Amino acid sequence: MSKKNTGDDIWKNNVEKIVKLFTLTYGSVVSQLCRDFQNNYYEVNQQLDKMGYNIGLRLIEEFLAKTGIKRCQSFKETADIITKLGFKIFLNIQPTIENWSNDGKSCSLIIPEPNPLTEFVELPITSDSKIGKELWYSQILCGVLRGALQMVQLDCDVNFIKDVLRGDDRTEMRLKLNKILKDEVPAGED
Amino acid sequence: MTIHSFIIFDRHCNCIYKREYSHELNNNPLSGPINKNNDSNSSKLLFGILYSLKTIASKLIPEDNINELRSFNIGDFRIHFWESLSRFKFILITNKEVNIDLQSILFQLYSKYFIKYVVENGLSPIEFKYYEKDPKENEVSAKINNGKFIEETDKYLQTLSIF
Amino acid sequence: MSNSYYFTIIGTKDNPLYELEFSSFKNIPTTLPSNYIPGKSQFSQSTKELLPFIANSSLDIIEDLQFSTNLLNLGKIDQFYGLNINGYITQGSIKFIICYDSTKDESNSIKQFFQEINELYSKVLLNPFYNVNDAIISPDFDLKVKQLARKYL
Repeated sequence: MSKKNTGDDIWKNNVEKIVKLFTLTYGSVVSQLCRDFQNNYYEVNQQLDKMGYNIGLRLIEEFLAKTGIKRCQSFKETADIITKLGFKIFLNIQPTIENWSNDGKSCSLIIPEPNPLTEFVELPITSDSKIGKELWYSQILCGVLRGALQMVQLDCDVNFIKDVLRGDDRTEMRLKLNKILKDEVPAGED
Repeated sequence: MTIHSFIIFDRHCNCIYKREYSHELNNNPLSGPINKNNDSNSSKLLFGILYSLKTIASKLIPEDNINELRSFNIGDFRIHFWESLSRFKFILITNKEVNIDLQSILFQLYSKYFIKYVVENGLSPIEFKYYEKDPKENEVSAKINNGKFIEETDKYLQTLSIF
Repeated sequence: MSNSYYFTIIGTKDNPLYELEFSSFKNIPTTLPSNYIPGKSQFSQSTKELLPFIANSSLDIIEDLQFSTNLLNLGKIDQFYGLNINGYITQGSIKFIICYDSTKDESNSIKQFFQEINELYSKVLLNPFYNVNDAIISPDFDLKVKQLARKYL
C-alpha cells in the first residue's frame, strides 16, 4: 500500500487520533500561556476565556446552521440544548445539568470524565503549588459558552467552580443568565 | 424575474454587505456595485422598515408565539427577509413578480456561503465594527470584502431561475 | 542473592529523570533477613552508593549499540561484580537501565517491563506541563512503575 493510502486510511479511521491532536494542541496553548505570563494564572485564565469568547462567536453560527434550531422559549431549554446538542456536536460529550437556582437563571453543568481537554494532563505538583489553586485548565469552555450565548442575545456569566484536575470530585461549571439583550436600534440621526 | 440586490445586516445594525446587480440592457449584471452604498440613506431606511415590520409582526400575536416577517411588496419591488438567531439579517430585493417563498434560498446563503467564507475564515471579522470617523478602516472591518464569498454567492444567485 | 533491582531513566543529556530500587516479588529469598519488607531492595550499603555510577558507566555502551542495532531493547549490555545490566533506548534517545543481582538471566521479563515503561513514559510526554529531560516527579507515574515492577519482575 502506498504511503498516501496508508495516510488516508489512518485519517479516516481515527477520529480519536484527531481528538488527541486537538487535546495536545490545547495543552500546548495552555502551557505556553503559563510561560508567557510567568505563571500568573489569573491572567492565563483570562486569556483562555478571551480566546474561547472569540471561538464562541463563530461556533454559534455553525451550530445554528447545522441544527437549524429555533429560538428557545426558556433558559432551561437553552441549557438543555447546550448540553444535548452543543457539547455533543463539538466535543462528543454530554454534560448533566444540576443545581438550578430558584429563579431559574443559573445552573451547574457537570462535565463528564474523561474531559476531552484534560486527557494526559497532570498539573505539576512540587514546582509550583499555586497552579492547583489558581489555574482553571479548561477555562476556554467558559469563554466559548459566553461568546456563543451572547450572539443569541443571552448575556451570561460562565465560570468553573470545580475541576477534577485540581483533585475535586467532579468538573463543574456555573452558568448564570444576567439579562436578555434587546435588539439594537440604529444610533439616532441628527 | 429579477434579483436587484443582496444585502446583509449584522446585529449592530451595520450593513455589512450590499451587492447590487444591474439588469439594464446590454449590461453584465455582475458589473453592479459591491459594498458601495452600504451607508447610503436607502440602506438605513431599509433597516428601519425591517426593524419596524419585525416588531409589528411579533406584536400582532400573543406573546411567546412566533410570527416572522418573511417578505413584503413595495411598489414594483418585493423584499425577502430572513434572520438568523444571532441577528444576521439576509435580504434579497427582487421585482414584484417573484412571489415565491425565498426563505430556503436565504438560509442557503447563510448556512453554506456565509458560514464557509466568513465565519470559518479566521481572518475575516465576525463582529463587524463601524468607524464613524474613519471610512478607510471600514473597508476592512465593517464589510464583507471577501472575494471568495462575493464570487460564490454571485455564482449561486445566477443559477437561480429568478435571477 | 536477594534479587534486587535498580531501575533508572536517563535523559538525552545523561541527566537522571527517575530512579527506583526494589526487589523481586516473585523470587523471595529462602532465608529472610530480619528486616525483610516485600519489594524492598536488598542491595548492600556499599553497592547502593555505586549503583548510579554503574548505570551511568553503561551509557557509553548504549550509545555505541544505538548505531549498530535498530532494536530498542538492547538486552544485557554489561555486568559489574555480579550485577547484570540491561538497557533500553527509546526513539527519543531516553535510556532505561536496570541493574540487578540475579544469577539468572532475566532479559525476557525485563524486556516486557521496558516496553511497558516506554508506553508509560510516552504518556508522561503527552502532559503539556512536562518538558523533555525534566525529572519525572508525578506520583501517578511512580505508582504505575511499581505496579509494572510487581507484574514482571
